[in-house]
Amino acid sequence: MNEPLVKVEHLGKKFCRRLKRSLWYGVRDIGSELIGSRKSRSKLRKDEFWALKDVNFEIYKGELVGLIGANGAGKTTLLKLLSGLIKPDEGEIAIRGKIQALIALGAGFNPILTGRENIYINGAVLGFSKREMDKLLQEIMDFSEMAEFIDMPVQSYSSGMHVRLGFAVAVNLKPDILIVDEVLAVGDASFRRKARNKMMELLHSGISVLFVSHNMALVSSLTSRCIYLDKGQVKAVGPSDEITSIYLSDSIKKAKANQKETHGQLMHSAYMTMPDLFILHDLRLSNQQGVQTEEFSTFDDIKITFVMEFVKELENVLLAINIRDQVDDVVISSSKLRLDSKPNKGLVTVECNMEKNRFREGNYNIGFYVLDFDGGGLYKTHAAVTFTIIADMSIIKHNDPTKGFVVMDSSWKVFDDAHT
Amino acid sequence: MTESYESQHGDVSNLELTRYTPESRIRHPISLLKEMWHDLKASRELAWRLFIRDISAQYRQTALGYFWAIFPPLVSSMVFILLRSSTMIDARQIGVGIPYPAYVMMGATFYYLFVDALNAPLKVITESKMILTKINLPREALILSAMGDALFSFTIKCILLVGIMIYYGVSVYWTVIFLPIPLIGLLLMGTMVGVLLIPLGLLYKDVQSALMIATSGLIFLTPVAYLPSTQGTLGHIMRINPITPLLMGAKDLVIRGIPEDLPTFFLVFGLTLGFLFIGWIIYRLALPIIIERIGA
Repeated sequence: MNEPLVKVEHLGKKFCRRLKRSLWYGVRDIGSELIGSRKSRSKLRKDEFWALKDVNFEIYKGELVGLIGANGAGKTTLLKLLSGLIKPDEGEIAIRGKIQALIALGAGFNPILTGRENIYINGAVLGFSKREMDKLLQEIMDFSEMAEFIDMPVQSYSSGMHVRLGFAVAVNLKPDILIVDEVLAVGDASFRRKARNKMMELLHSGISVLFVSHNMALVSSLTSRCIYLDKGQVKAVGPSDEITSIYLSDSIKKAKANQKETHGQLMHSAYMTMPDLFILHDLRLSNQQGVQTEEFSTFDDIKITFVMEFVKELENVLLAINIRDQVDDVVISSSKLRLDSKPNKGLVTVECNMEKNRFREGNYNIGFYVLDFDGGGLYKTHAAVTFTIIADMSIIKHNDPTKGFVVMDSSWKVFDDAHT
Repeated sequence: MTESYESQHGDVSNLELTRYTPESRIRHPISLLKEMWHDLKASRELAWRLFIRDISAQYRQTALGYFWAIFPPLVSSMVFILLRSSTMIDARQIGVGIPYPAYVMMGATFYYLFVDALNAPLKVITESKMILTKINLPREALILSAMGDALFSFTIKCILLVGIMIYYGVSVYWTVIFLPIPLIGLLLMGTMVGVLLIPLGLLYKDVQSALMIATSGLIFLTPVAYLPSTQGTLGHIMRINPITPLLMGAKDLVIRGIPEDLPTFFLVFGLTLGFLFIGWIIYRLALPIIIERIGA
């Protein structure tokens, strides 16, 4: 039977909540490390908690495994342990071959040096000689499409260029295990496609990829198996379709719990307000039956009702909304210039009706922006209110509501040859 | 599984196995030494790259560039020359045989090799924090490149020193060919102290501040601008100051010949090597723990 490339057994790692105490523990840990103390580290000291506890999994050759979990679930800690940056407090990691981790892409780049110099440094970090890197340079430049910028300092690169170069370096250095952290969520569409194809190509040539992402659609379409971390523990491992839907329903539950807590804090969610000009008094969501709700089914109407007050009269007012998904990508946006007929003063009620929504399953935030053309912004928030879409499988045909960006009705017809 | 698949994808057992466990590596000294040797070899290329990076980066973001390398010894030398002219330093005691400015500049240049080597490890590591907390690299490379930085800065100072020596018409002794030995000693001693300070210095910023004060005071406790005095508290301090044998040895080789107290010289040299090795082990064992504390 094949041996796994990565084998993680009963892995545990603890962290300390307070910086000063953490530093002091650090000094003591160094001390016990130096005298080779055999004392078990399984006990929590004051202010410590388990960032990871009893984590077990395996990754085999040529496998693409997803790693998912909410922020703070321990994903980054796990990646750092896997790449040998930090030591486990419990358990064991056994890795066969060279591991290449892209923890926050381009982090290894020095901003004042050029792309070319950084490529050589990254190569040297992984043990490549200058001669070997000379050979790889062309491939890296071709793949990243950065040939013309390669002699510019990295600090002048856009974030997309950073990502492209980082990814190109990582995949061309031919690791046995590649850890990819949220790479395919940035960069333009054509590069994302290219990166995806390259990952598939690498898998085919026998390397293993651990893919870390918040984008469930991507995870379930790319990976075959998935590890779901929750509060430092493996909550579920299994086929990606199953695991991502468990994760989504968990995060919907969590968001709902949060919503109740934050209800009625409209003014607090805004990152820009001008209370002497504009006040948002209320924002409600309702469905086609006129029932107030924050939970909608596929193809329901979503009506947003705003109650707002213009303290002073303003002439040219623009209202805009955008709706963002869990990974903060804007799915749609809509705006209204001028509030017709009425003078923009005093209390105003505005409705925005979205008929037959086509959102896929998940949580969405409604951002709300009020602008005065003569005076700039009046009110801005990225998350005035959150709503949840629950897929209604009885009305969605031939469409997987957990994949893609939108759902739609589609119909298939099959003709036999005689018919045409 | 078919045979062709086997040959193409291979068996994983031929790949190098890495294990991470909570156990201290010091429990396995043999494999620890092997790892150290392996990483030292693996870090040469990276050290060279980092060195080049540091040198060119330093040059790019400063207006005065390499002038900063000669600045400290120049200022210290001027202080001593002023002190002497106002008879704060007893001129009789300085029976050095060569013009005083050349003598002071030589002492300061050698002394700053030690100081640069002392400061460089912590500086390089602090600057590489970003990479250190994100990429697992052979960490010896950082120390090697720190030594490179110190040597580079020393080379620039030497150019100035040679210029001054020629200007004052100082003739050097043939023993100058052995000069690299005490210089390597000063470099290694500085590096040794610097490496020993890394674990604490990364956790607590206090160390770097303390280091600045310490090195600026230490110059007066080291026979940089005069011969070590034989009496008084200062004389006592200079006798036990471990820099003294190396520094005096270097100066002697240039202007006097073979240093008298060779046993002390080699004792200090040997101890330096020993402590450097211990510092290296501590550095290796401590770094993962430190990265965990600072890399959140």
